[in-house]
Amino acid sequence: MKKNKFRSTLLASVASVTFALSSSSVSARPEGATALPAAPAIENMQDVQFIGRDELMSYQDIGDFELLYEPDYISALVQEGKLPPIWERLPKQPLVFNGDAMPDGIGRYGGTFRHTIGGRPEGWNWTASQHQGWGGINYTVQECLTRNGPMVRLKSEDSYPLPNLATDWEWDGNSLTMNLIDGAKWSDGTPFDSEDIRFWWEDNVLDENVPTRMNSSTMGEGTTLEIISPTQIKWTFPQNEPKLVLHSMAYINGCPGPSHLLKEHHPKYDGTSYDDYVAAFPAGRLPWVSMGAWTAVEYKQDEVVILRRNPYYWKVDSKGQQLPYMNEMIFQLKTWGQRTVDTLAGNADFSNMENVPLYLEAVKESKSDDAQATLAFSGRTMGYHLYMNQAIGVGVLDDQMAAIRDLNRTLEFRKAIQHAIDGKAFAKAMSKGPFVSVFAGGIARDSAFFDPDATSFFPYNPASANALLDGLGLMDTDGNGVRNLPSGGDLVINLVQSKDSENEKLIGDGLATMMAEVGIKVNLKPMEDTEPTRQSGEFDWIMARAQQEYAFPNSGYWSELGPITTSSFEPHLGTDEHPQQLQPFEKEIVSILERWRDGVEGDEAKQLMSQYQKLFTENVYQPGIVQYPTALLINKRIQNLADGMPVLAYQWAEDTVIREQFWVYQDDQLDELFPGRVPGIN
Amino acid sequence: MLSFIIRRILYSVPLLFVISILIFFIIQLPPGDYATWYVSQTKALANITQEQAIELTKSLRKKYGLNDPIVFQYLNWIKNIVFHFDFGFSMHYNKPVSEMLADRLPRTLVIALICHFFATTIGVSIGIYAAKNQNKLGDNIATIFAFLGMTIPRFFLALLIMYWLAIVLNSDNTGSMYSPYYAVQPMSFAKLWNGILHIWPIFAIAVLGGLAYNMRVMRGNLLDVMRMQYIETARAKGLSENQTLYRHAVPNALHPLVMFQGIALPYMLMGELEAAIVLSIPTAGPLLVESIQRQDTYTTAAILFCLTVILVIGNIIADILLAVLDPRVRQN
Amino acid sequence: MENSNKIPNSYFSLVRKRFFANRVGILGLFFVFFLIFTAVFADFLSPYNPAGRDSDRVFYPPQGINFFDEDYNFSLRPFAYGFIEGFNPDTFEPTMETDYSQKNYIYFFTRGWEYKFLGINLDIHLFSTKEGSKIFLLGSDAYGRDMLSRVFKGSRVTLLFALIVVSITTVIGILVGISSGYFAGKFDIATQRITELALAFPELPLYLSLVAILPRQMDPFLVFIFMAFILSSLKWAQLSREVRGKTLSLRRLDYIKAAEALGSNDMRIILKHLLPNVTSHVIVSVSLLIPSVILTESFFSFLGLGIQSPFVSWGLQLNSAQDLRTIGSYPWVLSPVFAILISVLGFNAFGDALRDAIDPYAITAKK
Repeated sequence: MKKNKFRSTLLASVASVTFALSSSSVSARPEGATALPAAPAIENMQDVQFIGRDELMSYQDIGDFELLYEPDYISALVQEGKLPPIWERLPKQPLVFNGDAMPDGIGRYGGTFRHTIGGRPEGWNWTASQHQGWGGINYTVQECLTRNGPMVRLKSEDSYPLPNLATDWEWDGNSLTMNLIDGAKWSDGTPFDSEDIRFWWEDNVLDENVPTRMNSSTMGEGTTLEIISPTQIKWTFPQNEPKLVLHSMAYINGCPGPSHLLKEHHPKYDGTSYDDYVAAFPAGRLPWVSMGAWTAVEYKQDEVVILRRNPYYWKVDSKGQQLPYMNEMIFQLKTWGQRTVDTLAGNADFSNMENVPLYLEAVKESKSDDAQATLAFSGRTMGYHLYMNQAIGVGVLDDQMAAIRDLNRTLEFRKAIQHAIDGKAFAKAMSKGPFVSVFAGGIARDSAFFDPDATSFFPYNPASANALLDGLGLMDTDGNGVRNLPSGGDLVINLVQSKDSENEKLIGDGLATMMAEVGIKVNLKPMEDTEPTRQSGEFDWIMARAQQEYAFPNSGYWSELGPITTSSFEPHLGTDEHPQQLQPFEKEIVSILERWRDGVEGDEAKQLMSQYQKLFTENVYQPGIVQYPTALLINKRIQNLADGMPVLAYQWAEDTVIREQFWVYQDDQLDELFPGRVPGIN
Repeated sequence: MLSFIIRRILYSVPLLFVISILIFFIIQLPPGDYATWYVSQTKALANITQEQAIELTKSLRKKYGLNDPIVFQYLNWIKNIVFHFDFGFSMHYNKPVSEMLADRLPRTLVIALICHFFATTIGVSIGIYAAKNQNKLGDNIATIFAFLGMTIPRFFLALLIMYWLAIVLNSDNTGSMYSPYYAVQPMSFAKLWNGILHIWPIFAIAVLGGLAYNMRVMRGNLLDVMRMQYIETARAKGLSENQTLYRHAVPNALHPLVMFQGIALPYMLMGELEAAIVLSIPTAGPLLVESIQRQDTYTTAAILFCLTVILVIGNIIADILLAVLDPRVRQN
Repeated sequence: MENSNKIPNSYFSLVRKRFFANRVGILGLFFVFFLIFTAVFADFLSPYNPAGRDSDRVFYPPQGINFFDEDYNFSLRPFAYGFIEGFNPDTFEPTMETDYSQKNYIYFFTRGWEYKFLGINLDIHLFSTKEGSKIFLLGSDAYGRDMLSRVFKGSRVTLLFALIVVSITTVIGILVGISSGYFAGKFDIATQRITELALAFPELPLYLSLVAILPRQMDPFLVFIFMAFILSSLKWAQLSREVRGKTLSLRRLDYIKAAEALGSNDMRIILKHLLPNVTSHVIVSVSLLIPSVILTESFFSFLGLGIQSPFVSWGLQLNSAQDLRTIGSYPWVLSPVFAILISVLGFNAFGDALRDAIDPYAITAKK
């Protein structure tokens, strides 16, 4: 059955491509649909300078370098005998970032880098899924097997995950042999080797008692890991060459922790219980140990986390200077809203701007003479869907919810909702500039995989919406202005949204009004944390931010594009009690995703995504609300930020921009808070 | 006198007891408990299956004693507080609640007391001035000022101040208690000054409201007292206006103000909480709001309980002060 | 002046005389009436539908009313100029230029959007504009909705909320206060303790905790009612204490003792003698209670914890205005704060003056 589907899907996609090629402007769009309207150009959008993998980085023998460099205060400590000399601290073949690929060239040492974040560190045991506060601090302390953030800079033929702790690998049918970096050390001098990987895989991922970011079936049911030597490991997967698993070995899943410290509390070794294992590494336990460029030395709850350079960092630049260039990194613990404000004011150095109402203000400020930060927009890759829950039974608490589910599963209802959404009004409310555009749902309009011909857009048309709703028999029988369900009650729908997002507050306000205009009563349910509701499926509608999955479907988030498993697609979950009941077009989407999982490249990948887009938008699977760009705000003094880095691609910008390469001219450097401090030494 | 104090304190003990029961009960009311919150977080992050989730819930409940009958949970909780000063464990911050209280409560209290002090002294002084210059320009300005202080919503003031600091001044001293450097240093005068630079908006906002109240009450009382017979007598005796005022009128006018302290402290505390929540300055207020939203039950219960204790103590002190001033009260 | 022939004034006329001698009190009374009037006739006063979106007029600043146009021609009918929106691509600043060619004329007692009043469908408004033209006296918000109309609509929510809280508080406060003061004994001691309990609770933290309990699926109107209950749960205590105090002092009066001696039953004494004398104090306390209720509700809506869309509350409007861009670029969105100010000021002034009028020699601490 599956094979036939595959064949027919392939045929269908070939057919659609042929059709599309032969008749460019006229696609067979359903009635009422138009092409997605063009959006105004955004000034200030930079183009990415694409480079090849080898141009960006490589691994070289330390013997190949004439000289190796380190900051003066480190050398002083080496003289005092408190640290081993640099050739003993680096691995045999450190990772080398090529100076020619650096936008502002080889850097100089010194200075401090300030982040402001809204999260609060849970603890250091990221192996047991604790986070350190997000906003860049996770990325700083967690180094992983592969790295996909900087992939945005790679030429398309080279576009797959970069090596990191795994230096190179080889496919052979189902198996993947990976070489690990040889002779690298944790920030306390303990050697890093395959035992850290084994501990992570066997005693954490495979151990059901430990909450981990991935589980045994994430890369395929029955995946196994074999340790061949301290620097070589071998994976065996159920499928043949599932290339996408390389993404699963990058942040956030494939990041090993220091086994020599973690084992002390793991029940299989010296620990007492699993709860103790998770709780034994609170943020106050300092200095912690990592493979990252900076390691935590100070922490004050709700105030600050301070990190200092890691003397054992295993990356250098092509001149031989040990990275990072900057000696210190500070995370001020405030709120996410404060992050942008601080960066604009020059009190922090980095901000991912996703709060659209602030864009104009930010651009204005960045153009003034005493601007502290520079601003760069990326393409329109983020947006909001209105996720309409189409799972039968899952999370249904009463008859009203069950009735809404049935409506959500009806095509005419979804079309009516999309017709009732006034995208232009949202765009204007969010920002008076050219930024926000309408959204048909599905693949983001500035994604490399976007096919305008495959996209059907149902524009704002309250008359059509009313007609469709009337046609479904939803009339206002009691004259109170709200349509009634067949059972007699009012058509009242609960919309879950995030309480503290400016974007969502604004959209929610407008949505409630727009739906009231076509006779649907929407109750807004702002929540501090929407995650439990999303996971349990206890919602009618939810405001869902469209992120990487719809802009970079070739990243690790592809499974969120459809109900390929019972828990991957929030608007259609399945449980044992209430299994998924996929409609025909959903089944087609699932088969597209299965094909996708097995690994497609080049034109075939684009065709597959076109087919996905056609199914998604023609059926208004999930109505689109708005689409908008993100902007990267960074302090003017920072050097080595590549052009056109998006706020969110394969990873958030903090990883994409490779912060260990950032440097600042001597005169512009800010005073360090703890000059000369080395984690664990002084 | 002593018996009065002891009686007063003894009265409060059953009161606090009943309140603690109520607090504990209220905390339990929201559906779900910490176990369900934790599990849904973990499910979201770790992709565990439904069966694993159920297992995890069970083990967590056992660990935190969430399965025990409510009465046992309550007795356990109150016993720990009274005998060990152990307020339980904050699931969200991964540390004992008493540590967090030790961090936030003292500063909340200190801020409240300082605000109270300034509001009272400044308010009373302006009140006396206004009464002396009744219906003249000074009085009218003071009255208008008082009305503004009582009517402008404190969260609105906090919003304006935040805008001014963040956008107009580009100040770094927003959204935190100390600058990063001082945050990790032990207390010193420099650190204190740094702290003041950060939290002065709270003082400004809380004092403004309290000041206005004190001023109006003082002014009103003083005017009434000034009409009394004994003031006439004092003037007739030949005392100067100032002597009359400060030796006879003011002390009598102050009397009801002392009664008012029982209400003033909570008002000051609430004003401070309100301002701190809007300004995101880490004191008890924002911690309470966060812990409620995260269903971090022990933290919420602990803060509620401690704030109540503070208020009750404040009331006791106010009553004692009143008893010192007015012997009739003692006899009651 | 001749006083000798005057009939002695009744209690109420005395109070009235004293009240109206207080200028601030008169102002307060005016504000209170204005607020009630606005709440009742909100739809009549609003030139536009508070929920009426206008995508062409997003974030319009308040427009001034003119009688003279740019060429100094007089127009009896007042009008306001429209705006031409532009966008400066270099500075990225949106521009608003007055469009002198567009005159939006104001018509009084004219037909406009439809609304229901006491069950009747009406469409007449105090003032509005003809189809296609608009005038925003307080500017427009993110969706082009008229701020003025929304502020009027919000007054309904605010007053309704205050009314509910006040009703509950008054009923419970009087019940508990009078029975406690009159019956005394064990009943009094018990209720005294409960009152102390309610007074000892810190208000804001308790409200925050209780609001979190409300189930997520609840209808917004029910949430509204529950919030009113939550706020009342502590406020009755202060009132009952005052009522009890007054009852105690009244009980000692001779005519009450006489009534008791004559064998009047309790109910009659309470209703005929105690209640009327307590009423004036209750009115004062309640007037001074309302401002704190308004401020608390506004704070909760501002935090996003209270009233939600599609209801309009002043605090909720301020919540939308909370991001710093609005304060800087579109400050008129903050205008609901003036509504709060006027309401709070009005009730405070009114209550103060009333208290002074009723009992000019009282030296009491007030909340």
